[in-house]
Amino acid sequence: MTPTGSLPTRRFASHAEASRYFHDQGWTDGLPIVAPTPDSVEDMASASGRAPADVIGEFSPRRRSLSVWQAATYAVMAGCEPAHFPMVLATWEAMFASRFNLQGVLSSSGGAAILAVASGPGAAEIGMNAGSGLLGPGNRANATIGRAIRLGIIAGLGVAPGGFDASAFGHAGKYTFHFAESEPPPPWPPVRVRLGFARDATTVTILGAGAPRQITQRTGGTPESILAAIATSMRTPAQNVTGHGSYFVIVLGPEHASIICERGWSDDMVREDLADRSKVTIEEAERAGFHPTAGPDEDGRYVTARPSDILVVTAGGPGAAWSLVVRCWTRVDGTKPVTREVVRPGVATGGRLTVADSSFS
Amino acid sequence: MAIEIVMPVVEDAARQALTLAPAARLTPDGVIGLVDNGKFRAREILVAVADRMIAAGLAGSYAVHTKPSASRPIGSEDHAELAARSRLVLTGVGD
Repeated sequence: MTPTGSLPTRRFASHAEASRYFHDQGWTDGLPIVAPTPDSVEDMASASGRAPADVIGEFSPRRRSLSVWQAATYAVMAGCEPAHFPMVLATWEAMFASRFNLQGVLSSSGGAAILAVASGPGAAEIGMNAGSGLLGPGNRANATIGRAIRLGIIAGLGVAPGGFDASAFGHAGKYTFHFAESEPPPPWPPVRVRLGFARDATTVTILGAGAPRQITQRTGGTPESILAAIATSMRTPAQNVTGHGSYFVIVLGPEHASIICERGWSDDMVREDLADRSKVTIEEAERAGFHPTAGPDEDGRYVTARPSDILVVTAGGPGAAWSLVVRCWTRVDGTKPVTREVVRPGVATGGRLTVADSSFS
Repeated sequence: MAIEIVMPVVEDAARQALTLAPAARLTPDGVIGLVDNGKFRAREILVAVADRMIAAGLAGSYAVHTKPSASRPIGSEDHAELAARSRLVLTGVGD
């Protein structure tokens, strides 16, 4: 007998009828879903190596919990392959970490999405896109893993736009916001190693994030010119973090990554530089009509991000020297990023080796 | 041929059985708890409401609890303390 856990089943004349019913009940993201049959859910759950009834987390504001079986159901609905499911589960586990403040991320009018950066061999094995168009359409793993999370948020946790999800606007990342890191140019170690994990581990790092902004710097040709362009995008005072600080994921495209890494800049140097360049002067804040609720630093400038609150990732495709800036939706006292290892059945890794000096560790 | 599909929503009897507490009876000497969520001028508007209630004889005083972060929910200890000392708690949701 198929272990349906606490989820009931219902009979439909066709998959299309089931998809329409799910939409009418408010259980979807607006797109058609793959109707989850008991067998398909069981196949999905089995890929985790965990008991279907295992509870991954509790969401007290809606008096809901999430089991492996439920997560598998939403993964089927999203179109995931079973091989994708360990990445889905690791993302859920990260989301239920208390420091992430899932209630705030899901409910805020700031419209946060769940940004997830995968690092490690497991991401490539399941075909995640780390290259051209990684936040766009066309890659099944990127598209469906993030969608499995959003469908679980809507159907499983009962958090729908216009209801508990009070997003003023929302953004496309609320459909899916998963992508993979491409291994950085030498001598930089990959994200997972910088965050204290073994090189053979696969990790997922999540952040409650606003919409991404793509920036270019194609004429300077130096680390300083690239970081100046990125910092300019980070430092707008027209956001509620100026003076308090926030978290940023900076995705260096291949041209920018090559220049920075090959000129001998370390990850620490890049983060220190960005933290300094992204500070906002009192005059800039006044010109923007912005009145920070926290005072300036000793140097008379408002902080945008501290070095430990910046994660630098290498990914994206070649072009005219692009990079990407993704900002946390709120300031540092409202949430924290979380990193978890993706546990793949039958794959032993070195796991977490240390806790790095990073808010993302 | 009909197909069997897993429904994605948990049947949770405890959640469905949730009911609202009976409405509090206001007294002229009662304390109004105000939860300031830290958003711009949240405290001012809550105090203005409390002042009007006191002037109308619906309460005797108010006490403000300011959340350290607007993005985080109120903690269970603060929640219990507010419930113990307040006849009524006022707050705002969102911005």
